[in-house]
Amino acid sequence: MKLEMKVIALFLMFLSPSVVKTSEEKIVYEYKQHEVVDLGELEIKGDVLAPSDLSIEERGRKIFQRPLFDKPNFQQEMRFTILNLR
Amino acid sequence: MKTQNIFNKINLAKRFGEILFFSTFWYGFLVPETIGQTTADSNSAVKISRQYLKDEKPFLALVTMFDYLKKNETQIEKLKPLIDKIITKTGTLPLYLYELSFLSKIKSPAVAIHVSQYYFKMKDYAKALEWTNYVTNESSYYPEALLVQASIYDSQKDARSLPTYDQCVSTADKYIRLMGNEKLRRYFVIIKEDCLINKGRHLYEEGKFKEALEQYDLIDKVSYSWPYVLMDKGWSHYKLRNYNRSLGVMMTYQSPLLGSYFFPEGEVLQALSYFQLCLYKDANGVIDKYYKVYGQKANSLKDILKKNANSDTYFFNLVYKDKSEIDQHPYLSNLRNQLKKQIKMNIHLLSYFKLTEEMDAVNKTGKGNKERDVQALKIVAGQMEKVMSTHVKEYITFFINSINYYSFEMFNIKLEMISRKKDLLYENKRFIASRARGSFKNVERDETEYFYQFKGEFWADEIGDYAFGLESNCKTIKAGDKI
Repeated sequence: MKLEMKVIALFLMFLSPSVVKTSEEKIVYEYKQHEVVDLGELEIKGDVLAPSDLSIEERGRKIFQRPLFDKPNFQQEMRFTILNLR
Repeated sequence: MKTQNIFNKINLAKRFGEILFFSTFWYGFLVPETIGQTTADSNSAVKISRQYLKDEKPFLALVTMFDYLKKNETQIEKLKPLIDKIITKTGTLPLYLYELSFLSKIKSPAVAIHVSQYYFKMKDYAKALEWTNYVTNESSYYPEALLVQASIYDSQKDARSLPTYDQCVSTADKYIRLMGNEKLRRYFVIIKEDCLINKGRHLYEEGKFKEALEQYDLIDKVSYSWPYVLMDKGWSHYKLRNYNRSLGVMMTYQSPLLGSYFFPEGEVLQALSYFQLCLYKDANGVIDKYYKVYGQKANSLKDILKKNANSDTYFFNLVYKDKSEIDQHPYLSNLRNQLKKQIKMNIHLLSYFKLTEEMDAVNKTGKGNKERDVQALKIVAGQMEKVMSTHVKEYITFFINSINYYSFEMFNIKLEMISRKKDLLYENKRFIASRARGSFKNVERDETEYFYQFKGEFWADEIGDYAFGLESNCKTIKAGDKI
């Protein structure tokens, strides 16, 4: 039994790719160096149209206002009324 | 964020305001311990005090009595009516010479009104309220105590403020009818008017501007309080968006009759009213004038303060001496007029006059301890001068500080106008007119108000009831468009 197991293990070892592959293939990648795209020739199907000129959609602008002087009450003057008594 | 800023500003305004009056309220800086020592060691001091009062020497009566009471506190309760009788003659100014710990033992109406106001100044409202309760309703200080009470309720948003103001008005009215003495009558009139004005201010804070205006209209035009009410009226009209009326009310200060009154806040209100009507040129005019006139005033007054910083007599003399004997500076004479119309200054000056009269009398007819008595009165007089002098200094400082504070507000309005003009330019727009002209159709008035044209003359029956007829210029058109 032990002998059989040893034979199977040896057989499987010989089947592994590192063992099977003896030498690596040499791969050469080539990139496209130049390409011309004629946009005018491009045809887009559907309703979306390319903008004809630069345009900004008008919208309401946020108006920032400085907090101007306000008079919410006369507490200070009311206090001074008493301070001016004696 | 906007609300936060407003509160910050109010706090800032309060800060510079609080400088005022604080230091005048200090106690026991020099208690004349030596006065009456020889007499006040026994019960005979009370007799001597009574005699002084009978001889029309209330200041000597007071110092003798208080010196005695310091050593015989158990007698205070029994002597309360006499103490009040003396203080009615001297006024409360000499009470500044005594420590609060001593005065707190005397729970008589005259001392109580003084102590309650001390606690009010210190913002200890619970104690201030407690001390007003010692002023009984039979006391002539009662209307004043009610005014203090109502103001405390107001500051604490307590609903009892309005009924207390009403009670103050009716009680003061009772005394006005009773008083034969013109000066005393005037005191009660001012107390009554203070209650009416504060009631109006209460309504203003609640947003009831029309009701507030009705209260302000109850103040007589010949009253001392009336020039101050104009500020309140102006703000009420502004809040009602009646900017023309607000401008008209502020114009009243231009009348020769009110020449000595100047309110930096009034200028800000004018600039704001023009700003709300989009009359930027007019608003700019007010702002430029403010920097020119008030800047100069502030610098000039600052120099005077610096020059006389260590002098006590200079500022005291400003309110005490005859107009011809004091510094002839125009701004100072205006401030002097304002100060002399204050109830506090009136009461203090009256007290001081009485003291000098007493000193003269002791000098002429004094017997026995004449030298000691004169010496005692001199000490009291010196301290009273210091109290008044400090008040004058503080008033001037307050005025300078308020000019600087409102100068910042004016700058803010100017920046906002520049910003709005810039926006118009970017939007290629302009206001409909370069400057709107007045027209009767723009004057808002009710059926009781008549219309007369203003031709540069301030008539007594019209004063304070002016309204501009300016049209709002806030409508914009495209820059190239013709109207």
